[in-house]
Amino acid sequence: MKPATMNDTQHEQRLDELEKARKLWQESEWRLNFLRTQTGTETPPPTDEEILLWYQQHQR
Amino acid sequence: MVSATPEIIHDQISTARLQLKKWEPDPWMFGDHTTERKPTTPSEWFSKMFPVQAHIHGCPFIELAEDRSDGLKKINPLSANLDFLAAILGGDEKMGHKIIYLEGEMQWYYLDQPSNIFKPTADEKLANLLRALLIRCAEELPDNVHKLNLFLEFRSDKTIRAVVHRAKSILAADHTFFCTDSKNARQKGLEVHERLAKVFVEQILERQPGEVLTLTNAYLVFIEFLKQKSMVPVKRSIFKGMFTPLIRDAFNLGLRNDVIDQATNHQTAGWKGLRALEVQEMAEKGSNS
Repeated sequence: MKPATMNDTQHEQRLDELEKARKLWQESEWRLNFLRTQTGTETPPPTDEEILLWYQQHQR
Repeated sequence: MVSATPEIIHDQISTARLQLKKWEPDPWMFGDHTTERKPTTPSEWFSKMFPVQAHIHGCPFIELAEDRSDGLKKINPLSANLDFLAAILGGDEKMGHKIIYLEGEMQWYYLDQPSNIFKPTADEKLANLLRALLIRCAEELPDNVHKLNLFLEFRSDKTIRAVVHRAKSILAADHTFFCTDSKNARQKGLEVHERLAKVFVEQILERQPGEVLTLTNAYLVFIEFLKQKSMVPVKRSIFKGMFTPLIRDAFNLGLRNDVIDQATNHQTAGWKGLRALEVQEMAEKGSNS
């Protein structure tokens, strides 16, 4: 859903960036899962905002 | 190494050459990543995915490129560049990945995401990652690429072990990597001390009939050992709980309460027939500080 503070172009840009972020996140998880050890606690999946923030941090 | 027989080569190939060819972006695309051409060889596949490592360590594979008389072009990766494969285990910074080998602890650490905390991992897990990358490369490349070496030879235990072993020097980090002034944080908890305790038992303790190692001296030496690794000390009670089973497993010696401390001539807890290398120097330093 489009946030009220965004116009159509900004919303489209955000969706584009989110798609790229999800793709990179999936690749990252694919690789890291080979290195991780299973634990008894379950980590909740990240939200779109968290994935976007992670993506923006690493694209700088 | 698996390769075509000479007879087949002679009949069908008009030209054949060895190549070291990394992936290069299409010059007409002007950095447009959405329409980038797909890699067509194993070297292109890996160097596109890991350009920094390819720039430093060179082409991932030496390949035989065969232009056949029927117009087909065949690519056969003949031998792998072990330095490149070892370097890619270091991780991709684009995703915030980093993997290091802490030499003092003989331990691998990877930077987990999104926590940004280093966590321990193992040789076998790195080997699994490398094997998965190789098979993914084989699956994604077109049929004119010989897949046998990618599937079998380069994923063999012998090759993978050699790569992981080489990675230990390429990705080596010293004890300052996790020191208090460093920006690198690692998972806290007893497991780090337990791993160090195992290294300590392997490297510092040795069986020596007639010798006595008191619990106090062993503790002081271990505290000094931790200090050298920029680690915080553990409580004596935790030390006792960790070391008693480790020493029993390694030397078949139990902790007893009837050993004589030669410094005080008092009966105390310790191990008979065991000594710590450089025990005097390290214990003295430990007790003084």
